[in-house]
Amino acid sequence: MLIEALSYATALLSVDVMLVLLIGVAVGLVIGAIPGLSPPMAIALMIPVSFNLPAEQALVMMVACYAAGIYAGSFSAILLRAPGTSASAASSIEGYELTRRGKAVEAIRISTFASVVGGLLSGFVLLLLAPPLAQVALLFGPSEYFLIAILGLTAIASVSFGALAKGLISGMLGLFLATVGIDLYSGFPRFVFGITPLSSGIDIMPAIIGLFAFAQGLQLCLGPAHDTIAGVTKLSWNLFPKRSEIHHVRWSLVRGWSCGLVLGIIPAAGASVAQWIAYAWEIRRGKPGDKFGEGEIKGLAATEGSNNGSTGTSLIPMFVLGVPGGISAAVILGALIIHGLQPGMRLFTNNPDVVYTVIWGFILANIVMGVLAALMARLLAYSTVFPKGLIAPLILIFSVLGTYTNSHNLFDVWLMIAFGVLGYFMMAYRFSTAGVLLGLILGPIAENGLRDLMVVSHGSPILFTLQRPISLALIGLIALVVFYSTRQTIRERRDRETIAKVTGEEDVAKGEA
Amino acid sequence: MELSFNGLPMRAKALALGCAAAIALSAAPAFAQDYPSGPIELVVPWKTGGGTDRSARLFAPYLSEALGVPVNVVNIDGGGGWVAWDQMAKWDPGEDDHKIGLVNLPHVFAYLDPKMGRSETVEDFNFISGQTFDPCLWVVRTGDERFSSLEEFVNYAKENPGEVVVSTTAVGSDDYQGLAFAEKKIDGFEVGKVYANNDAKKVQELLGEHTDAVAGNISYYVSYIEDGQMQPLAVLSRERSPFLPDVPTFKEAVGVENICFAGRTLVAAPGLPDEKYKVLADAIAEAQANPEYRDKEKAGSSQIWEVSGEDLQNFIKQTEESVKEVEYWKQDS
Repeated sequence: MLIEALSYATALLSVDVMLVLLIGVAVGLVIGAIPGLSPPMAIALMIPVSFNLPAEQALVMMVACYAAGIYAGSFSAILLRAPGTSASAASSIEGYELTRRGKAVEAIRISTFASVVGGLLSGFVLLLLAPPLAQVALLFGPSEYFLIAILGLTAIASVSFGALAKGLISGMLGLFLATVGIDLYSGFPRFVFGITPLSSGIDIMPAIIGLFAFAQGLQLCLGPAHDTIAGVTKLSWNLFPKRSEIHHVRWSLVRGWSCGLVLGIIPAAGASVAQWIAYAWEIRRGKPGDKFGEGEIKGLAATEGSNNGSTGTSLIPMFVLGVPGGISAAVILGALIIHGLQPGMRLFTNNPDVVYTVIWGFILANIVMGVLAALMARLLAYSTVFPKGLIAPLILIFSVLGTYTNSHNLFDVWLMIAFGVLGYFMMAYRFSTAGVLLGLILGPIAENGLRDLMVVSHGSPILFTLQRPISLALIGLIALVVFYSTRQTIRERRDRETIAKVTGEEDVAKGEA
Repeated sequence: MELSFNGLPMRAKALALGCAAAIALSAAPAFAQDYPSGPIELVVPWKTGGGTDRSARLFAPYLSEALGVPVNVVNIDGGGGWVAWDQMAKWDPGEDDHKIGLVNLPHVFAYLDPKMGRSETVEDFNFISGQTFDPCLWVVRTGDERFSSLEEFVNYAKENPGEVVVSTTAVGSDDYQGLAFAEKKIDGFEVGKVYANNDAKKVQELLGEHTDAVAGNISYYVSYIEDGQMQPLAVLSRERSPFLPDVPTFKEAVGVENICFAGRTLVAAPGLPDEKYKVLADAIAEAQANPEYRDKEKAGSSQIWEVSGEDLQNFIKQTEESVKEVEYWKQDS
């Protein structure tokens, strides 16, 4: 199979294919970097263009755009705390803190290394293991989705950085907001109050743009206008990571990549869940001296490895089963069908030339994107040495434009601004905005998972769940996470109490708890 | 901020020049040649990436060719289609004469549900034509020993109450209506239902053996049937589908008429002058007849819906009646 797969790699070496690949990567990089313009949108715009291309060229262009778009979302996340895609929201936490400390270029080069290698790994898994892994995707049913959502929600404890009660409040707020909209099961409009746009629920995009980008823009407006984000006026130009840098984050990268590779396979989980699980895992494995929440490169390596690590594997269920893992994959599936190709195992036997060319194209796109990004990142990193008075209004303007372009619905813009104001005050009072987002993303997965579980288990969910190996493994993971988090918290409290006793300053214990 | 590759600037320019020349030559300016005077907006009431969006983007270049101006797809998302439909019902015949919208049947009948509190009805839309038509279909896993025909499926569900679980789209959708209708018309037939927003989830649930059957639409499931992974039970339409000629209709299989479908229609601003309406209607018909477009839709097992005028009006009225009959909003769960 490897030999067969290899023989199709040569198809890439034509001017036409290389050209569409370059276009795909370039479009993906630009659209991904702008908050609100998302990869699925860019891919959908390519559909009419792709009519006039042979199937493999059209698809190479789309997968290249997808890979580059997910990666480029991190630029604005790292430099401006304004994630360009939902897959890079977690990267904005450590990434932006690094930027603020004048380490923008260091952050981007780790992000690039993590993304390019993650994308390559993901591409090779897609090339070699697609059919068996697609069968694994099928094992995920209602009970597994419910448990994955619970596992994801445990990440709230980690992203609240010690302020657990505040983190839980944020998470609850997110879960509550996730219930807004027409209930799938009964058709009942929940918390809609007759407002038409609310009947389909609160969309993730306005929430992300508001909580992260717009809130950030508001905060930047406050300080002196001539200050810069980074507090420096010169940046390093070296975009290739040093060996020692990679060595320092090697296990973080491995954890990030494996989270991305595994969660990518599961339809509807994908990058937006993988990044948080990877990040939370990273924080729990943190050593004394690691500064999570204050610009820890390890956290960024994990989140960046996970989002691109999921790109290739998320195409597996799409190619093999016709089950797209996310919106981007759904659009690519549509293009596949328009070109007269039916997904499924037949695709691999009847049209191996197309499938393998596309997969090789995806792999090559990851390398090309690394090179193009090196050129682009130099320009983009300048934004952090511009005065805040210039950058802050630009972030606000792009937030509004991006939200509007996403849905052409003015209500979403107001919603985004509301989230922005909420996010601003949450930051000011040290509530976790990531918690709200996690609740909003995972709420529907948990709710529908549980309700589906009640139906398929005929009313006895616990007995049903205990008979499923993957569910048991997930329960084990959740137990482990809760155990470690609790132990860590208890230890930290003990340490603080010891310090408080020694120094006689009770304020330390009170103030930080 | 509109991004679109649908435009055909060269052709449009050439045509515009042609039109200008024609107007200059003929002493009496003909109205049809003034319209459309600029790009047409094709409004999709959903986000980029869905089935309606794909179909609209497929159709736009051919419609553009027929109209001689660019056709730009604009996605207005929110409210299960209602953010856009609310606007379409209020389009001004003067200002919004360069807009065409897509309205999904039976989704638009959500207004029948009193909980939705909507004042619009189908009377508020200015329907021009059908766009695509996709009957509902029930499928099971290939090799499921319990049932291989609709009759066996119905009997099994009757004999084992509460055991069969069907994956379907949310309450109020065409897929759900087919199930609700069957439960109402066939005594003792009742199934558990698991709801999804999209077909990907339904496919995963059926193939992963989490549920026993799927209520979906033909276009999405033909490939799984050809692939030998799924087995069709019946199509929920009056006649058999050209894509699945061997599959019986619901009535043929169990003697009960059960007709459900997802239909997309094209609408213009209410009160649009007849001349303009005719220009749009003719262009849509011309685009739908384009063999290249027909091939593209056929590749996706999607049926082009060439119905307009009174036939379309009657069809919509009939559909509304059948939705009213199910009264899905009266279920208490």
